Amino acid sequence: MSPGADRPTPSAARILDYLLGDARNFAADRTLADVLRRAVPDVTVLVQVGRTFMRRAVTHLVGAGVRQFLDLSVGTTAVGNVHEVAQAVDPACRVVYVHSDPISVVHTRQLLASADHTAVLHADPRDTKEIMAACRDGDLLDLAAPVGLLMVAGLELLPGSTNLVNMLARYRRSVVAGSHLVICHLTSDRRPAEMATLVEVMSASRDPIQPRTREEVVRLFTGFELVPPGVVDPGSWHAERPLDPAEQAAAALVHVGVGRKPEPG
Amino acid sequence: MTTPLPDAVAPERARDLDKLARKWAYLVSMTSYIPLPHKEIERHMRELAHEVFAAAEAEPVDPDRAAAVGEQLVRLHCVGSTSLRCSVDVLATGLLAGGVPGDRAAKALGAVASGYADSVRWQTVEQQDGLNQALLEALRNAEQSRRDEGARHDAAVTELGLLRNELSHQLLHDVLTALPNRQFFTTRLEHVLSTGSPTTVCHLEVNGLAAIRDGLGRHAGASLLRVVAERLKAALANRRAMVARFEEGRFGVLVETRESAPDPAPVVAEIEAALAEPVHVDGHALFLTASTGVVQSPPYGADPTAVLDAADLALRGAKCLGPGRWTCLTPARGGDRDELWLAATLPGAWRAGRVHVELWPQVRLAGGTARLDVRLRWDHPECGTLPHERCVELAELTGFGPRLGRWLLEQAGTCGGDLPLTVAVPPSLATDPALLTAVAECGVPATRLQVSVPAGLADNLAPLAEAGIGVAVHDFAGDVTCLPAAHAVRLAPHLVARAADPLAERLVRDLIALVHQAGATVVVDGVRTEAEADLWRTAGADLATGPLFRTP
Repeated sequence: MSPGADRPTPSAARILDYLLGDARNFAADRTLADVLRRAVPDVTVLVQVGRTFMRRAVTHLVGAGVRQFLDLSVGTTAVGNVHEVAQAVDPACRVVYVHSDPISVVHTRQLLASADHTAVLHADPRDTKEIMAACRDGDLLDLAAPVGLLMVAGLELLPGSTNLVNMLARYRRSVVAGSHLVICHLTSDRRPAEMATLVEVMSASRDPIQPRTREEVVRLFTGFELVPPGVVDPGSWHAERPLDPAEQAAAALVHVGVGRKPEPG
Repeated sequence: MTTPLPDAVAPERARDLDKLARKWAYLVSMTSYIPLPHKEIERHMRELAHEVFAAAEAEPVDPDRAAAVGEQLVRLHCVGSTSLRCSVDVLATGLLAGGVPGDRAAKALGAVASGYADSVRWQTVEQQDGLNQALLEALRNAEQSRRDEGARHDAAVTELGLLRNELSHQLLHDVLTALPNRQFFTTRLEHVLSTGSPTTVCHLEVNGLAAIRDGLGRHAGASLLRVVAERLKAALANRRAMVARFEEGRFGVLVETRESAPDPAPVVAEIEAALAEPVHVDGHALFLTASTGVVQSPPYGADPTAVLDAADLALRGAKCLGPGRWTCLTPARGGDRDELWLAATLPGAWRAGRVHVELWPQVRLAGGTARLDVRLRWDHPECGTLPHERCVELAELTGFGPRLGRWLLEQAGTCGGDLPLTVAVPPSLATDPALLTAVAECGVPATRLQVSVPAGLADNLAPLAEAGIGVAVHDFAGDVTCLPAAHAVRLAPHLVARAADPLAERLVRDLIALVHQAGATVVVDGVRTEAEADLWRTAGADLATGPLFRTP
């Protein structure tokens, strides 16, 4: 009767949580995260770099007049959540989190129990129609005003069969001009060997990953105007301080970008 | 953290702090994700650096103020694997460069680290609790929707199963040591008992845990228990065994063996050896002992709860022997439940006043009552009357013997009349240094009192004899080494029973002569008929007791 023989498979959300230094994770998640860390030591820094990018991007969006966010990123609600970042600038900001994992949903609900203007939806991010309908009918978001769509972690986790360009086009059509799309996506462009290892290790989890090239990531912004400097590494996207070599190496594993839906015409 | 009063800061120190804060913020933000703009991180680090200086330069060094800095680091989410190391490095350099003496810097940084560690621990526990609650609720939700909608998706059902497994893992393990808990242990025990494979069940308790906690703090107690858990696991790694943590300092060990009647001694020896090395906690070397109760080969199909109760009884017995001792119960097949159950309920019955004292006369076979036996009697509602010998036997199983023996002596003190009294004390009291005090305080004058112990323990009564108190031995079967210490000798029941057998008769006569030569009197217990009384009179015995002489 060995404990651990039949545990839930590790989840990317809880692995991210562990890599951020927190304890909202199970032994299976920690084991895989440790394997990951041994294989690609940069992952810990990568998670920090990604999170820092999210914070800067959200701050930028609030500065651009966005007061409501739809967070489709994978990850347990941990430190520096979108609503904390946004509401630090304007306490009236509204945030809807979407999780497909039932534990994440319940857990996020518990953690947000005392947070104003926040909501959690249990849905697959691919079900655009369902999600947008829930936001409209539940009066969670005002779809007549700009929305910040956040996909800071997780696009690479969607099954290979998903047509991401179509999916993002559906989201784009559901929101008004002035809305923004924020993406952070794993890539093999710069460090193919490390990314190959990462892909291999993650294939053992319930969330295998699919890296994309810069061209593919740029295509995800179809219909959006890229905010300068465009699709780049996180260190080049309005960094507050120069990255140190370790951070630069980790940053090379992802592409990030922010797009704005332009006014028609 | 309370906001400190702004201490006056010299301009030079202010520059140092700014520089330190910039360096600290830059380095620490590489070790962990800190959800703040970089300028904000610098501002926080500036404040914390100021606090560390203030704590290190206080007279004496203020560890609480420094510890609060550690706590604040955790609150800021500086929780990466190297965040603390990086912070201590930066601060140590800063403090020394700022003219703080090395010993003060070390004390302050030690306190920062300790505040940090404490805070991380609590945060971890809280986060795990939160996750477990989420798990529970997700499980309930899933079951609810399954009921509502029927099992639609295989995937959902699979996930539910996995959730349940995870949940059961959380429910079946002890958070502190990660060992299986009592519930898991009981289930495993039930399974092993149902397969009939021979087992040894140990219930052990680390001695002095409360004192360690009081003296060194709860944290030390927790570290100690984790070490014990690790050592027990390591010690039994080569056996087919399960180690579980029950509660407080109590652990359960279940060992399955091949032999049908395994010897528990090697298992206990391995456990003792594992705990013999000192444990280092917070810079203190702690020497551990454990009391162990062992239940050997519980019968096939036995109730696991009863086995655990028996192990608990054995543990209590072991604790009565003093720290680091063990006792073993080997339940007879069948009827063991009754025996243990009786033993377990004796103290309660005694407290409820159902155990009585009765006086049996010891008569001179030549005529006349010589003395009175002060005896226990338990009027049991189901098992009838249990005589003195049974009461003592049961009390010894649970370590209740000394208490019951002292009470019996006290009761002897309330017996009126002038006849001398004999009190047969339980063996555990006979070997207890407290016996002398109990006898001295029982209120019976030394000249009137005789204390009786099993023949093998006679030597323990030398101090009593010196104090002028009579010493008797019972269960005498010919071991003459006890004779010099004894004033009276009571023959063992099996000798009494066989006195009519010609061969034994010869032996008994010789024994009686021998006892007389040593200057002691011979007492025969359990005489029922006049014929038996005649037999013993002829054999030369002095006194007799038994149903024949009990006048209502």
